[in-house]
Amino acid sequence: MLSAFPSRFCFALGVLTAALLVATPLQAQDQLRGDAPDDWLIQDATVLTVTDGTIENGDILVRDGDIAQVGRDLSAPSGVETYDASGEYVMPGIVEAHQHMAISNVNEATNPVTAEVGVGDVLTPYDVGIYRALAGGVTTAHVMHGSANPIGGRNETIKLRYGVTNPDRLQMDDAPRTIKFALGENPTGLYGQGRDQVPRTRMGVEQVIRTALTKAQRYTEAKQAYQSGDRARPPAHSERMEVLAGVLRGDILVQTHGYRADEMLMLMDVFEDFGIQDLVFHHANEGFKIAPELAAFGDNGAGATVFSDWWSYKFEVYYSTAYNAAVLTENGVNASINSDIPGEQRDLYLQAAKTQRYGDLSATQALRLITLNPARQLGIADRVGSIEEGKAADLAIFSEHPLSVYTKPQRTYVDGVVRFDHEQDPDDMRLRVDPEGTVALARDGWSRHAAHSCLKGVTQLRATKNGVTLENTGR
Amino acid sequence: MTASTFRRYGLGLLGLVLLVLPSRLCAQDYEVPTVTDTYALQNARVVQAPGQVLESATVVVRDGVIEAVGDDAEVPYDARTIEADSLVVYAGFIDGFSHAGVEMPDTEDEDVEDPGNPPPDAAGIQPDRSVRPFLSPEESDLKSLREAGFTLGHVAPEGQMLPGASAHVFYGGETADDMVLETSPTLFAQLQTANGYVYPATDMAVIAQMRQLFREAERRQQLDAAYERDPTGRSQPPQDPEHSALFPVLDGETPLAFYADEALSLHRILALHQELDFPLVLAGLGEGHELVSTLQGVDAPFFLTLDLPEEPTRSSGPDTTMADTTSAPSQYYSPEFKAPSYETVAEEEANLELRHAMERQAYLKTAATLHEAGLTFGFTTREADPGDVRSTLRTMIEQGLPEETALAALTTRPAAQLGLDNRLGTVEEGKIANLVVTDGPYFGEGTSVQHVFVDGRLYDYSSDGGDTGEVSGDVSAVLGTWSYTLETPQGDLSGEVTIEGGPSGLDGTFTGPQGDEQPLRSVSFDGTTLSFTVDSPQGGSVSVSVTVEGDTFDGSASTSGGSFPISGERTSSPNATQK
Repeated sequence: MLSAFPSRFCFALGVLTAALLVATPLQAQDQLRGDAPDDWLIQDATVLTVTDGTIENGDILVRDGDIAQVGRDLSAPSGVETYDASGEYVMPGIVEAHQHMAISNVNEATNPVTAEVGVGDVLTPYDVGIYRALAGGVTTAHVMHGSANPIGGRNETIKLRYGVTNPDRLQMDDAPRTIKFALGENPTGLYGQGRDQVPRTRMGVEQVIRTALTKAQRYTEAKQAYQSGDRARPPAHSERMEVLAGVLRGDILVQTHGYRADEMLMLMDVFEDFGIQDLVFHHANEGFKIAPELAAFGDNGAGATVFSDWWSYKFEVYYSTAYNAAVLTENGVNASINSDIPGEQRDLYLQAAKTQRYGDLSATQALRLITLNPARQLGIADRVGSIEEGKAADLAIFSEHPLSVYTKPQRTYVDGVVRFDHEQDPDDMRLRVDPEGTVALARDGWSRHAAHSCLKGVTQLRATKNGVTLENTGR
Repeated sequence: MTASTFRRYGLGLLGLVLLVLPSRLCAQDYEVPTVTDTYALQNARVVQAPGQVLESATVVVRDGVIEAVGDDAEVPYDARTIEADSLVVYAGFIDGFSHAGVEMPDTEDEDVEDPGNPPPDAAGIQPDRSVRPFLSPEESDLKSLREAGFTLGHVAPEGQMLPGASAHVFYGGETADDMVLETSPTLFAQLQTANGYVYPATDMAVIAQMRQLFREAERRQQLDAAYERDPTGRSQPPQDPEHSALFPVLDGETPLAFYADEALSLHRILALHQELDFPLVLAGLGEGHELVSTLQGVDAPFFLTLDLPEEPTRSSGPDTTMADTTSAPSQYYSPEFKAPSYETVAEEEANLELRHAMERQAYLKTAATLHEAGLTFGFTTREADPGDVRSTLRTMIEQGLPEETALAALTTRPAAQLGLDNRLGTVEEGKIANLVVTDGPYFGEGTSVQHVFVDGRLYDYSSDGGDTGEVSGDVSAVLGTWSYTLETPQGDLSGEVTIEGGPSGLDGTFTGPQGDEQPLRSVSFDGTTLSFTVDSPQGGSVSVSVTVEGDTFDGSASTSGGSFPISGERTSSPNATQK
């Protein structure tokens, strides 16, 4: 059986794929979808717009990658491909507010303040995790610096254009810049316990942030003084201060890792002192305790992006509830649900559905947790997050209602291009493999332990039945 | 007798005096000081430049310069004549980027007091260094590369993100001073993190640090200029060697020479190049085939690596060998394949093996791919095994790189890219006497390098020349009989090697798997590395280089067809029997 196989197998395949070997490398810039169309008419679907109700037997016309028209009985202009989605559901492409896939580095864990670094400089379009996210209806992801430092690096909002090989093409044009802050045990464990350095306590975390922002104020003032002629020379250039000055100006949105209510209240106080308005808490497992305070922060409230029902994985995360997202939502906090860990980005629709079991959110409220709300948190809701004319044609098509446990993702469009198709989903979707590697190596596969987590690059305290252990997670 | 010839005789006499001094035991492949610095290669086939061949001509070398080339060139009476009727003369090869001849001091890992804010050298920021103090003519890669035909290279110090200034270095000479043609043509840069947990510990921090250094250097340069215009009443501008070393880069005079093979690193370097607008030299490009159209828009000299991916050792079983598509793909990977059930996982595995082979094929074709896209490039040996250089070039040619282009990429192109084409790259009157002399076409199988001239110095590799190897260190570490195992794609081959002799020279016998015996040539040993050459009865030769550790050795055996791992164990030694 085995010995008979290669010749049969290869004869047929040889004919099919000989062309692949002679393909010129000039086409390689978008290896999978090179010339795929971005003009589509999606017909007869149940359209879950998220902002404007549900349209039964609805059509969506996509032109040049944008949503041109949403309605019923639309006709396809010439040259526009059609997709018959009868019996299927279309929702806005899922926006993942917190991920660490598709980047080569996560933490620059050498200094408590590293605002000058940015994961946008080390994007990895080859990461098959992008495809796995697409297979779960995700079209946009906020890929983040880790939580080792009180002030970490800049994050990057990417569109999941899996198949492009130039990292720049993953970036979402005009998405506001964002930066990672981190509170609590990650920084205190790494710097305080690990290196006998500030911050050892939550008080220290506050001090590190206040000191850095104060320095940035002085830096800004010194630059202004030089420009107005009150100072002979400009201050020594600092990439770090340039970024923090952007935070103070409100150009760069702050995305803060934090679990406990007290430290979230602390940071809101700090930001009020410095006049910073844009604040989203990530994880916020105790967010439900201070939902009204979060909603009342600044002009627009502080956002919170949370896990559906994951907690108890370290000491500061023992106090939580699966009702967190629902409590936040009902109290007027702009809340979203994220997956954080590469590998977990595939079933955000299922995570959102849990808020119907725990908290009785409506289908629209639940879907907004993974579409419009995270888009607002990232400052990109004018382009994505709902099915509206003029927005990007980022669409996820499901076999059943996306909040049903029986649903299966069928197709995912990013900017009008089909980037995942259940009907064409071969086994090997890697963009490249190690030329010196073997299949056995590839088979080692993904392990949760090796994945980029928030604390990648940090020695981590892990509580187990056998006591507390130190664990190094690699860089 | 004219004054100048007298001077030359004087030099010759000096050479004779040096010869009798015992301390002047120099490199084995370097002729002992000669009585003349003038050479004539008579009646050779001279490849003056790619595509420009003199079928039978004489090349005269005098005092490090090519004095004459042509069929009517006169052989000077003081010249040492080399009968070159069956030999081919090429311009000496130029290495676009390497660390050949560089011996960096061992640095101890110092404890950095504040790892988040380390001193510049701990961070790898050393653009004020030069490669010059680290050069040594005795460095082993330099010797091996010279034997492969390389005569000059663009050589940089080793280090992290900004290791220092490079130099144009001759791959020969008696002292480090002989080696330097030009200093500081470029500053070497790479996306390389600091050692240990020290900032920058990630690529993203290296990139941020590059931005920081550039912007601050810009500011300091402006302050310097203002101060120079009118120092009165101004405080002195801040200065340190690291920022000052970047001023010529900001001025567009000195390029940053980056080395990177990975596509992602290349993209990141090009993004930085675009953002900071520095002149760029780009070496490595091992995955250049991944970003051809991007490279087409880049204005920089390119140097392609002479390292190709190894053929992977297949997991097991006879079916997996079908994936070898190196020369003529007979089976194809199917990107559409879906294993219908767990029972067909073997089909999946076979398909994925083909994928690996296909991926490797793309690397073997990189040179041809870049060439077909209209990109011009030289070569870099930084990651290459010197013994594999010719087989790598042959693979590139088999995969579609025209032979003339390959030769140009070794000679005329790097000469132009490094701004040395007025002095190097061709066999022409007036050029520096860097020459490679072979007994056949350089890229042909079975051809071997007979002589290499570096700056007019002759290195003789012909069989009647330096056939005894250089020996130093305790030879008892290698004497005796060794059993060896050679891993080849066809399976393991084993036999015996016997090493005999003493500190004054080694020889021995190589017994093949069939029991056929061959004498060892050029046996050398330096205390750890044992190398020798064995002529194959079928023609061609095998160069073996192994590291000896106790009673075992490990290394590689290189032939024109590739390089294979070889390991061995000592089965008997004279010491053991004496004890």
